[in-house]
This record gives sequence, structure tokens and C-alpha cells, in this order.
Amino acid sequence: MLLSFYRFLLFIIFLSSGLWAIPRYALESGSSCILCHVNLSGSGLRNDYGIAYGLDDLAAKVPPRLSSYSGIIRNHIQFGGDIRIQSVLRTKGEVPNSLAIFPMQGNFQMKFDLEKISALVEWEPFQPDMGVQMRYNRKDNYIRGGVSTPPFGLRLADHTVFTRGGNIKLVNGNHREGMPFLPTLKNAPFVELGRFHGDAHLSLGMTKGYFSSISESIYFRAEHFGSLGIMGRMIGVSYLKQTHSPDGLQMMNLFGGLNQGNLSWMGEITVAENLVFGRSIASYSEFTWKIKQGWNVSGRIDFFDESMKYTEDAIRRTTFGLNYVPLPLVDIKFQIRSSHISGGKSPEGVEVLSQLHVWF
Amino acid sequence: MKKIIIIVCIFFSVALGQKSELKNVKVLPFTEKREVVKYMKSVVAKELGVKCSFCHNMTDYASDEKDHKKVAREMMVMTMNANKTMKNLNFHDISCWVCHRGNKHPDHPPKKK
Repeated sequence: MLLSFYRFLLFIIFLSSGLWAIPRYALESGSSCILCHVNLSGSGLRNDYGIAYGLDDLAAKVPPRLSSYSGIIRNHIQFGGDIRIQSVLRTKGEVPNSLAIFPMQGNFQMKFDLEKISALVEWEPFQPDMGVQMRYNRKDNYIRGGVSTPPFGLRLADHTVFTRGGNIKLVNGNHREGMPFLPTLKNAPFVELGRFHGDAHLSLGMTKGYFSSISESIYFRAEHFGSLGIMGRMIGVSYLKQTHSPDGLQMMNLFGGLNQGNLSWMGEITVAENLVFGRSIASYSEFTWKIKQGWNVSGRIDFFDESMKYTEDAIRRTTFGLNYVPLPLVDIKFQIRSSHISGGKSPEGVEVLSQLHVWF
Repeated sequence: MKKIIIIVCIFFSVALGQKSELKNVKVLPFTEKREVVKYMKSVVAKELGVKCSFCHNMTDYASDEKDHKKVAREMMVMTMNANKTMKNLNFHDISCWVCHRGNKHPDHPPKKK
């Protein structure tokens, strides 16, 4: 029993993922990820606005020592990083049968600016993996290229969400437990054209060797921020198609969110062809209530059906959580989640997850 | 070795991460980026009912490529000058809200028929 637990630990230690985002902040700010992040696709190193947002809008308390933090080393160089450490405890069942603690995300980034060209270098020591992207800006248009992850959908920070990759170690008898964005995938060469048009962000690109060594894909992503009556809203679509084979993976995604005061809802749905057998579907829906600055509670439902041909393999997972940001640069999450398999034997008990996220 | 690199990087980031020079800030009286961001977010964006992209190139906030930014800068000079007069009169400061009332463009009085 102890051996299997250590195997489990060892297994997931190497599966910590790279750069992913918390799109709820974009929804609450009513603007694209680039409002706060250096990377146009969101996540990772924060720009001036993002650092100020982290100090003024997220944390319950800002110590004077941190109030002037900027992250800038010199005028044209900036360095930062994100580390997420997660623990999982299952109250009943097989995996894991005890407390497992592992690094869920680890990356360090450095940005260099030179007139209209900016370069972003990232290092993921737990994967391990490297990424680099160069971007040339001209007014609201840009072209970027390098080695990175293709932007698709909401790009949620939790890789166990079914719209990303689900759990790596399958425990429910399915072929897989989510869409193909597993944390095991390495950054791949890509080139992308994009434009910021008012409150919209459009990007079109191609990547080679991301899903597999022979994989070639084209992708498109569009998002728009606006208002719906008194509410702020976000809506977007993503499309990705593998072009190296006629039977290649093809994914369509619709995402969106609504925000009013301290309440927000975000969701996405992805339909994939040729992921397993025929058509697969994954969805994510999360409701968040900001009790007061630094304190958030949330409820979430994930759904995944690996093949719509069969009715007994769908998974529904319900999660309740508390998110506490005691200080700038520190984020703590507690979650309880349970899973239900349609027509099959559902896992017993619940999973208790806690996560420490530190960034700078 | 990797641990050493991480520790060194964290050290440099924390130790040197305090240096932040404002770029292309010509009118606002602030010395830190955080102050500029806070002012833009809590005053300009709210009182004009706009988002950052209305005036800024989102890939380079310091750039003056957008005409709205140049106009906004002149408006700020106008407001600051007005506030000198307000101060002499011992009146409250004014801000964008006085004219804009949460709109991009201030309302004009109805035309005479």
C-alpha cells in the first residue's frame, strides 16, 4: 500500500504543468489577459497593471514592505515566476489513499523589451521544459513566434479540469479523463498573428509537434469583453485542427462568463472529434462569490464524455472551494470534490485538495 | 544546481525588483507605476466609462500611438490648470467626472430650436 502511494507521488511529481491562467480576473477586469500579463495568452509574468492589480485588488492585506513591489529588474528586463504546490487527500477509495503533496506548477519567466520587439523566456524546472517567444508589435497588431503552448479556450490554471486534461492517472476505467491538454505535453514551435480590436482579441496560428512529434495543427481564438445590461460579460470561441492527417484531432470550444459586483460565473464547452472514438465533449462551469477582498468561495461542475456513442462512460465532478489571498503574491485554495460516473461505479468518498500558489 | 539557480533568481527578483522607472509619463505627478495604474483604474477608467484599450496600445502601455491617449493627456493638463483656479477659490478639486459623467464624450446642451 505504501509502495503504491510512493509510486503515485513519483508519477505526479513529473507532471507539474506550465503556464495557465485564472480567466476570472480577466472577466472581473473586463479586459483580455494582456491587461495583466506579459504573455498575450495570459498566465505567468505580470505587467505593471497586473502587479498593481495583485497588490490592490486581490490580497486581503498589503504589507508596506510589498506595496512598492514592481518586479522590474532594469528598465528593459523583468523577472517573475509562479509556483503551485498541491495536496490531495481522498477520504475513501484507492488512489490516493493517503495525503499526496506535489508541485502542480512551476515556471520562471524573463521578459526583454527592445522598442517594438519583446522576448519572453520561460523555464519550467519541474517538467522540465523551456519556452521562448518573440513578439513584434505594430499598433494593435502583432506577430509572435517561438516555442510555447497553443492558446485554446479558457486556459484554466487547474490541469485536472476536464476541458484541459483531467486526472493523469485514470481511476474510472475510461481511456482518458479530459481533453488533450495534459501537463505532460511540451512546448512546441508556433507562429501566430493577432490583433486587439477594441475589446476583442483575435489570434490565428499554427503549431508543430505539440500533441505528438508528427502533429501539425492550426488554431484560431477570439474573445470579446463587453456588457450585458448591468453585467460584465466575456464570450469567446476557439478552434484547433490537426492538419497532418485527415483523421486528425479537431476541437471546437465556446467559452464565456458573466460578472456583477461580487458574483461571477464562467464556463466553457469543448467538442472534440477523433480524440477517442468519434465525438467527445467536456464542459466546465464555475460560480464564484467574492465575500470580501481576498476571500472567495466557489462551486464548480465539470463534465466529460469521452465518446458520445456510449452512455455509460460520462463523468461529472462537483467541486466546492474556498480561495484565500492573505497577502500579495500568495494564494491559498481549499477544495472538496466528488465524482459521479454515469451507469458505472462512482468513486467512493471525496477528494480534499489544498493548494498554495506563490508568484512574484 | 537548479535549486541554486532558482534561489539566485528569486533573490535578484526580490532584491532588485523595487526599481521601477516610469516611461513616457509627462503630465501625471506620480513617481511609481502602481500610483499611475491606481489612478487610471479608479479615476480615469471609471469616470469616462472606458477600459484601458480606449487610450492604450495593449501591447505597449507607454506608447502614444493612439490619438485618444494624446487627447487624454491634454485633458489632464486642462483639469490640473482648472484645479489651480479651484484651489485659489478654496473650492474642491474637479476631475473627469465633472464633464464626462461616466461617458466617453460629455453631453452637450440640447440645440436651440
